[in-house]
Amino acid sequence: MCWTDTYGGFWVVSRYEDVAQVARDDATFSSLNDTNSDDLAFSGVIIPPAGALNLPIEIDPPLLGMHRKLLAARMAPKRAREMHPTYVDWADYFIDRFIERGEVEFVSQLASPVPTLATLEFLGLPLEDYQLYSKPFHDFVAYPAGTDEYAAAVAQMMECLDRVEIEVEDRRRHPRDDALTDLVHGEVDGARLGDEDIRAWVRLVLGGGIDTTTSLISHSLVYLDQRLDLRVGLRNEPKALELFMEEMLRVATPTQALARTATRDVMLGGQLIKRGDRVLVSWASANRDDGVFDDAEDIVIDRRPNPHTSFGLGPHRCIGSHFARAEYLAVMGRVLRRLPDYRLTDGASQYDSIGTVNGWREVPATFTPGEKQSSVTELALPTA
Amino acid sequence: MKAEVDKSLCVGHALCWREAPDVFPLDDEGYNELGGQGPVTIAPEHEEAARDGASWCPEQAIQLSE
Repeated sequence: MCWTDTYGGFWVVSRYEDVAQVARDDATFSSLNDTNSDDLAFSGVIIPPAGALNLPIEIDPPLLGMHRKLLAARMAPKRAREMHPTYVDWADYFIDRFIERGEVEFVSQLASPVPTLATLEFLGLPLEDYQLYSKPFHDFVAYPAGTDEYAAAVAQMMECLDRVEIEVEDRRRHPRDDALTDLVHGEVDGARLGDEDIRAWVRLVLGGGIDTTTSLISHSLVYLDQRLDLRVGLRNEPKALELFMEEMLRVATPTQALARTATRDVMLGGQLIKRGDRVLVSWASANRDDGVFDDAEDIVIDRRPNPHTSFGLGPHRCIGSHFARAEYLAVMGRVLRRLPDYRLTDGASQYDSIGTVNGWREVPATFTPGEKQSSVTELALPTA
Repeated sequence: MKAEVDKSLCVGHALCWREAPDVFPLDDEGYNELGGQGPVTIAPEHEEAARDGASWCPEQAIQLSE
């Protein structure tokens, strides 16, 4: 447990036990983002505050549970599993676009597009717009504030959200089987969501659904560049790929850390936290706790069980976790099958600075050219 | 063997189900269906799966007693 004065000051929680204590005690460690106030206290889950509200990551129980219920059924594990064949088709579609060339930039050409499509499909947004979403939501976390790329990303994200407004309006009159409809027509505590709350939900689904899964895929592709010996086993054994995924989740921890505000004085890890103090919960650090993980600093690809914190702990457990896993298994499965000898070339680069998401900007690679799969020629919405 | 799932701890990671779907079914929202039912008897042929499934829960929401 340590304190830093940066960004107005906050505690950094790094032990697994303490991270778990914080994450499971919403009453003491609030996620609330009070957008009416400039105070640091109750300024949400990002340090420094991101400004706009994200729902429902920035509210507490009992309202948290009511909001999650709006989409819980649609985001259930069985629903994610049902999407797996579609995700495989999409992975094949994107691989087709470059497989004859023998070279690829994995992030922009595969790792980002598939999670973007999955997120758009989930919300009910037009799939053909994926490039409008894919690049800015990636660049927004890949480039620090102040860069041209960041500014362009922010502008493009605003445009995306404007388009979403049009779709939201449409769902009021024409409900469909999609998440936007659930958000427009659903009720929290007997009332429909206002426009700002719908926007806040969409912000989170896009932000949480796109770049995080991309990062996990990128990290895995980079790791396997050096481990040709592992690829055949992962390709042939679904259970092996599943365990590998969990270990990649642990060591990469795409969402590195999120914040809380203490609602009362409380002892944590031997330190007295005061009411109003900001607390940064380091998922990444908890994931390296050698009191929980044997050989915590080693990558153990068949580690089991693997109680990593990468989808969070407690009531804010990532509602998209099942979809993230389904997308990952589809993409990695197809890469291992169709690009078995890929090797990274020079130019792979990580994000210069990590605010929240730990990802790769670019992962260029070469491979023995292959053939397109003739069954996948165009993007199509999955049949209902 | 009996398994007890603490409903207040279950947040829907669903790793118990992924590991042992016959032992730990999920409800429509993805939570362990045994949550809140008190101790449930596990058939002998399911005991190993129950141990594996319970061990995967990051919330340690599943308690097994022999």
